[in-house]
This record gives sequence, C-alpha cells and structure tokens, in this order.
Amino acid sequence: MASTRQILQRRSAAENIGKVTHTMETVSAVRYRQYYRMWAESQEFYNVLAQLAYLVVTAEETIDHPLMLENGSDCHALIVTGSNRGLCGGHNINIARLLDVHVKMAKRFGKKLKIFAQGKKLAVYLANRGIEPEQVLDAFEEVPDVAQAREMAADFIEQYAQGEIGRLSVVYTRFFSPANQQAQTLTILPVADLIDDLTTRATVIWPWELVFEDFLLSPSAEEIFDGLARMMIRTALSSCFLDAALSEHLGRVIAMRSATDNAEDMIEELTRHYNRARQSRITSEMLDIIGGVEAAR
Amino acid sequence: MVRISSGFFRCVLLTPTGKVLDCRTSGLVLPVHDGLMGVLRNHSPMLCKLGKGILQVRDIPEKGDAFYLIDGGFARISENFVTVLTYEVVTFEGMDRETAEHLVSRAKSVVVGGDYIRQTEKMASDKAALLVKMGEMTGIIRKD
Repeated sequence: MASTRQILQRRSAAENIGKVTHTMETVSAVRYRQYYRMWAESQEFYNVLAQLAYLVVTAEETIDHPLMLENGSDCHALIVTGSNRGLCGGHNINIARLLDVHVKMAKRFGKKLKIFAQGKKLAVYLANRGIEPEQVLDAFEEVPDVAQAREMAADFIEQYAQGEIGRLSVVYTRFFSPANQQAQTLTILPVADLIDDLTTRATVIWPWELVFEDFLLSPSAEEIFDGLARMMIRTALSSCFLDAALSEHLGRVIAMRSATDNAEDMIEELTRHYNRARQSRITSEMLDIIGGVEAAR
Repeated sequence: MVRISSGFFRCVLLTPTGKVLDCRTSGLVLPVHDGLMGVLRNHSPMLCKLGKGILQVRDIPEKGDAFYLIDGGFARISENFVTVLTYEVVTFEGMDRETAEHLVSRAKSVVVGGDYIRQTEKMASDKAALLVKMGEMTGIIRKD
C-alpha cells in the first residue's frame, strides 16, 4: 500500500490537472458561446443567399459562367482546418483521416494536390507524414475577418480563373448542431457543387409557401451571377472556418469537462485512500503504545 | 387596379454577422449598381446588384427614417418583402452623438486630405464622403 505522503503527492497532482482542465474548459466555453452566437446570427444570411442562388440557377435563362464550369486543370487546392491546440477530442484526427483519403485519391488519379493548412497540430502532422503544404494559413488565429476572407476568396477565384487550380475544397469539421459535428469536404470551386450544397443543406429554411415568380434582373443574369458566386465563395470560406472553430471549442469543452470530472473522482478516491492509510497508521501506533504499556507492567 | 404608392411593406437588412434591420416601411431608396432605385409597396419582383451608397428606409413606424451606408451586395424584392444582403453596414443607430460626430469629422478629414491618393485610399475616401453625406442626412452635422 502507498504511504500517506505518496497518496498526498498523487492527490496534489490530480488537483493541479483538475485546475488546468477546468480552466481550459472555461476558456473554450467562452469562445464556443461567442462563435455559436456568430454562427446562429449568420444562418439567416446563408438561407437568403441559398435562395438567391437557387433562384438564379433555376431561372429560364441558362448561365454559363467560368466559375460554374470545370476548367480542366488537374490541380486540386485543399484548405485543411486543424487546430492550434490539442485536447479537443477527435477534432484533429478526423480531419487528418479525411486528408489521408484526399492524398490517396490524388495519387491514384494522378492529380496534383496543393494543401493550404491551418493550425499548428495539422502542420506537425503534415511534417510527420512528409507532406509539404503549399501554404500554412497563419495570418489569422481561428476565423478570418471580413477583409482576410475577401482577400482569400479573391485569390482563389483568380487562381481558378487562370487555370492554376481546377478544384477548391475545404476539409473541415462541419457544425450541424451542438449534438452533431462531422468532418467533411466541401467543394467550393467549381461553384456548382457549392450551390448544390447550399441549397440542399438541412439548415436552410425554405419558404415553401413562397412562389418563385418571374422577376427582373438588374444588371444582366451573368453579372448578377458573377457577384453572387463571389459572395457565396467568400461566405462559404468564412463559414467553414467558423464551423471548424466552433466544433473545436465544443470538442474541447466536452473533453475537458470529462477530464475535470475524472480528476475530481480521482481526488475523492485518493482522499479516501489517504484517510484509510492515516487511520491505519494511527491505529498501529496506538496498538504499539498499548503493547509497550502492557509489556512495562 | 393596384394602387402604386400607398401602404407599408417589410424590409430586412442582413449581414453575415446578423440582422441589422427588420421593419415595416413605406419606401426605400436602394443604392443599386448603376444609381439609386426607389422602392414602394407593390414593386415588381426583382433581383438587383447593389453598389456602394446609402440605403434610405423611410417612415419606419415609431422610428422615422433610417440610413445605412452599405458596400455592395444584393437586394431581392418579392411580394412586398425586400431583403437586402450585404457584407458591410455602417450606421449611426445605437451610437452616441459624440462618437457619431467624431466618426463624421474623421471621414471629413479623409475626404479633404491629400491631393494624391492611391486606388485603395480612393475607395476609403469614397466611403468617407458617403459617411459625411449620411451625417448630413441624419442631422449629425450641418450641411456646408
């Protein structure tokens, strides 16, 4: 049996771990609430954007926009969103697994893969696998601001228009609800796939009672679609980073809450062991004293 | 026969960070890509691209007129429901007078400062000029 001193040391270690995990849980919970509010408030914007996209692509006038069509390039740009810190459940490992699938697929079909990695954990994973990322996205902490998202979207659109990339996808953990987050790949360019995703996602609230009547377009359908496509790409990029950050913090809250609970259980158990060990030491000392007194008589 | 101008309709102004405005109004002036467009009740269904300018929302019940500086986006008009989607909105609503005056005076200094300005600065200058104009419209500053 461990000595009382050893038990006390172990209890102290468990208390320290509990404090750290509780602090991490609190920090992530605050971030989670902040991002969740942003996510909830952006949903209506995405719904309306999806409706506009649906209206434009289902109009009688067919649109042949360059961003809508495949450009023939065999280079696949992949934005992969990892986290800067660990201890967030299966967040990073699920992303890494999905990335592995893309790497294998690219090798199998002879495509070139350009990886844009976000997060230190992912950079370390790529270094361990010997994969050189095209760029590490470290200009922002977790979610890009308005100007950064605009710049990033414009840059990828330019690359697509020049034929430098033939496809742009984001590997991220999608936040469906607080009870459901899944790692997935969202194809952003060509924009047809994105429209498909936007208009079929479960969170879109379709006003079924609303009839999509004939409507005027100002300026022309092509110009409207060009602006709309750029807005969708920019919005989708921001949304992916926001979903990833939201899922990461939720994952960390759950993991750290569980770790804090386990630390508390361990402290309780060690306290019980300590009391038992202390009591048995006192009892044996008393027996020694009684034995000594009896011997002295 | 449909009466053109009388009555109210609903207007919603949305950004990715949330809903800025949801109200009933008697009229709107939208800064569309090629100028300004007035919208009254029973406007024909329309989807239009917006430019940089001031969105004017008229006669909001218990509020009066409201002004928003927007920078691009889209507006959809359908069945007396106008939805404006935009990324950036500047408004004096919820801002105390001192802050608003400070913002307008800063915008004024951008407008009058510098003979030579680069393209990005030109865009900021255009926006500042619109902000000064919105300050005049809302009565934050007096028209020179």
